[in-house]
Amino acid sequence: MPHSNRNFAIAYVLLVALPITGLIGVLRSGRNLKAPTSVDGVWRVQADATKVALSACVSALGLDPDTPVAISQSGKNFAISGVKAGGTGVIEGTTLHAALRPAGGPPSANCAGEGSVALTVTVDAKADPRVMSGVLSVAGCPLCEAVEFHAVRQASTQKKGAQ
Amino acid sequence: MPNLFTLVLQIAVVLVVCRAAGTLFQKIHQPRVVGEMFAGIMLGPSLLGWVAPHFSAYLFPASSLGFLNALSQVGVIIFMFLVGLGINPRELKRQGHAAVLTSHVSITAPFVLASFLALYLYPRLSDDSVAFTSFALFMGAAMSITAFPVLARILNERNMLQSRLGTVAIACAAVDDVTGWCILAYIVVLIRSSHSGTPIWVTLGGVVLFALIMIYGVQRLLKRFATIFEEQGGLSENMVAFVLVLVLASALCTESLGIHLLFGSFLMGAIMPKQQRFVRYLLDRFETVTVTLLLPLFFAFTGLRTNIALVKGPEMWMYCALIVLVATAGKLGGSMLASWLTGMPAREAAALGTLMNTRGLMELVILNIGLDIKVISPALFSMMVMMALITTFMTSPVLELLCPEEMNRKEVRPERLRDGALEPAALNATGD
Repeated sequence: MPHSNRNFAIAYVLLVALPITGLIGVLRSGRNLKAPTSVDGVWRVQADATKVALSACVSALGLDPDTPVAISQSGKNFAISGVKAGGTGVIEGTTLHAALRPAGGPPSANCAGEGSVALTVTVDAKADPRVMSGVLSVAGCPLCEAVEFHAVRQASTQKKGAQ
Repeated sequence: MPNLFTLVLQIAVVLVVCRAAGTLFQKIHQPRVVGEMFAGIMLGPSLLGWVAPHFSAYLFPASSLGFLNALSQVGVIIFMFLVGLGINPRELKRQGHAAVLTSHVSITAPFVLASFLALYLYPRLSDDSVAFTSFALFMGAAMSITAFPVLARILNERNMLQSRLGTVAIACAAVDDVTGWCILAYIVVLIRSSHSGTPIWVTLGGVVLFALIMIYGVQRLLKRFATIFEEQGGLSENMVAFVLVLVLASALCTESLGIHLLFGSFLMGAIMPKQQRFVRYLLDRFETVTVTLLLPLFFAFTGLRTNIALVKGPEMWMYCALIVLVATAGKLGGSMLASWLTGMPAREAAALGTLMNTRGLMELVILNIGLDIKVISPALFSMMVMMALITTFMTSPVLELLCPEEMNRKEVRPERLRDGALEPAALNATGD
């Protein structure tokens, strides 16, 4: 083998073949990593209509099964956007914490404070389609009762870059 | 039905802003395309939506974005055909071992570094519906791409296209793009086959068969176009339309095979005859509408999907800085090291690394595919878009430091242009 060809072969092994072996190792070790629970997609929210009506702050969010809410997720952070409300939150394990706010500010005098609604839900990561259940509560609003709700992710967006 | 008034208004605003930004960036010695990319970001939630949310909602209502996207995708299909048309993989063979090594290292180095970065970012910016393998491979492909057209444009503007550095850079970028798109096609197949239920080997087999038919069957037919062109000095309108139909048909084939539309149009461009005058002729027919009308819509649509506000807090900005650092170290560092080891002078090797680090529009195309198939999250998409902008923006000033323009004028070798090589005029189009 000519000298230049041998040098080329050595350089190729060191700079190309060896890193590719490293890549295979990385791909294997990465399989054990755990990413945050997926909540990205469109969800249909179901809540007791009577209880929602009793809470001025929660009713202002306009949550009903006919108007789904969209969750856009980036790792542990997510943003919720509905027809009448929006907010941001964080995922810890299978629990979501978020603050929702009506689009037009405080809805009525019965909704004390700024009308911010705290959302705390647990995701059932094993369910297919994925479901979550939790509670919407308002701090500092004596007239607002906590409202329990249940949400189901719509099929069209529940699967992403799965292998 | 689209709201025609809104759509026409959107197109008009996008064109004005993109042309203005492009002109402004040209004044600071940047390629026009960098300005247009910035213009797209400015029209999105990162600036217009933040400063004037009501006007932004009026101008770009969510219900209208589907039509804007459709138009921009048609533009990108034709653009990818033009990119394929401008690429001549045979260039690499002419450059010898040094270019082969440089080219392959400029793919593997950023790819491997990106996969290491994926180990860190996956638990922080992805979610459990995305497999790590898909995530890491996508990050690798996205970081190893080079914006062939922008690179060619920069070389042309700096009168470096015929220099040794220029020819090696063009050859390496061509191979990088072909390899990068092959890897991306595999990732898309990997992800889509898991949804469709079709075994991956069936999809891959179909893609390989399609590629073989294109290379060994269709390519021979395409040579007829070049022959007719040589005989008649041009192609009739029907012939040009037929080329366009072939591009669309190829795009539809790859889409129905389970990979993206863009792979088909790119492949059709790549297998087209490479006679210089023929390439120039086709570029002249397709480039004006694509570059001045349709691509700005793509920049705007990308900008509308990019929300820098998602990158909030020091932690997220640290991820972003890390992405830029790894992308630059892998691409610039890898190319520089390989070319230096193969005997290129250090300054020239650094310049080559800088050129290879240009990602530009090609990166945006790949990132949009990643966001579409949801292998990357919106925040990561925004960070990667910023990386694309920064790495593209830094090319011209760094190159000026390493190879001042006066030096290039002395070094130029005009006899280098030959049939099949990418002529400067042909490069103006897609790189502009």
